[in-house]
Amino acid sequence: MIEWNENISGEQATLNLEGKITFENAGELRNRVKAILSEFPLKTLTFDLAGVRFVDSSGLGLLVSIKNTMVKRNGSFKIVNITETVRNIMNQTGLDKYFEI
Amino acid sequence: MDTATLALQLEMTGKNGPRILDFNDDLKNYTHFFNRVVDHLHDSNLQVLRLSSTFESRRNHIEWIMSFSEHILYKVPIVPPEYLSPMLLIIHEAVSNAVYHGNLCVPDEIRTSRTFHEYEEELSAGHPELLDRQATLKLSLFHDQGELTITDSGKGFDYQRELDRNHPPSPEREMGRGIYILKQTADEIRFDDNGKTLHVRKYWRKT
Repeated sequence: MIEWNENISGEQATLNLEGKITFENAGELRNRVKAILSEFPLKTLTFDLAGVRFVDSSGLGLLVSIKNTMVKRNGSFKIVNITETVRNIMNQTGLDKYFEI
Repeated sequence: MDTATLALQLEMTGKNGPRILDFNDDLKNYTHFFNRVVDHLHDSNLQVLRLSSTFESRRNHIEWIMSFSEHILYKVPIVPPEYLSPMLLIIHEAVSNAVYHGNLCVPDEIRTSRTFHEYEEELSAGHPELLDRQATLKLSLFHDQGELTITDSGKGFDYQRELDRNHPPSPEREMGRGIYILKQTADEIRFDDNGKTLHVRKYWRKT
């Protein structure tokens, strides 16, 4: 289960997420991010993961694809307020450096 | 629409021997069973718990087995707190691997462009037999370790290549981290039957 609220203003957007980002729900979150990116001229997208207590490999894959998409748009993707469990999974897979967390 | 039957057995062993709870019915009749399970989970004498379930590759079955196994994992007084997330990760990677790759043969480009719900609808129209494919999950929790076995109904895959990988996939790759994560998280990992069966073991180390 994943829920989020969105703060979009000008070229910046922050999504505050709560729950788990996993293979069951990553597709729904991906669709929403795609819709936001096609509607708004974002330069910076931030995911606040303070409320996310778990991600699996599909969740990681989604975060990677969002970062790749933002880089292609000459924008940036930031992850902030990461929980210990999520940080451990990032460390295991070498993604901590990629996301600069 | 979906009248598929789901099978589940929960064996809980305490000081007074094993107690077995069985469910073999349509998912919609599951609440009553769940309430019976909850009554037993808090037993502080519980020493061993074995969960065994056969389910189909449908979204409601998958969501059910994931939430049920997470509930069991976090509620039984067997697994030390620092091992809860690693075990949950093992369950997620094992089930998603069995269902997506094994049973549904989902190509990577579909996984990166469709939701599970959208893909399930496409399959119901074109290849409903894939959604009927079963997987059997066995999760055992002991006082010193956890053990998971999952068998899917697919064709198998070249698991050795995945197991031989000593580095994580490059960071910009969206897919292909599942088995690497399993290998990193578990103490033992083994595939049998051409990759259709996966065994994983994780020890709780006393600190």
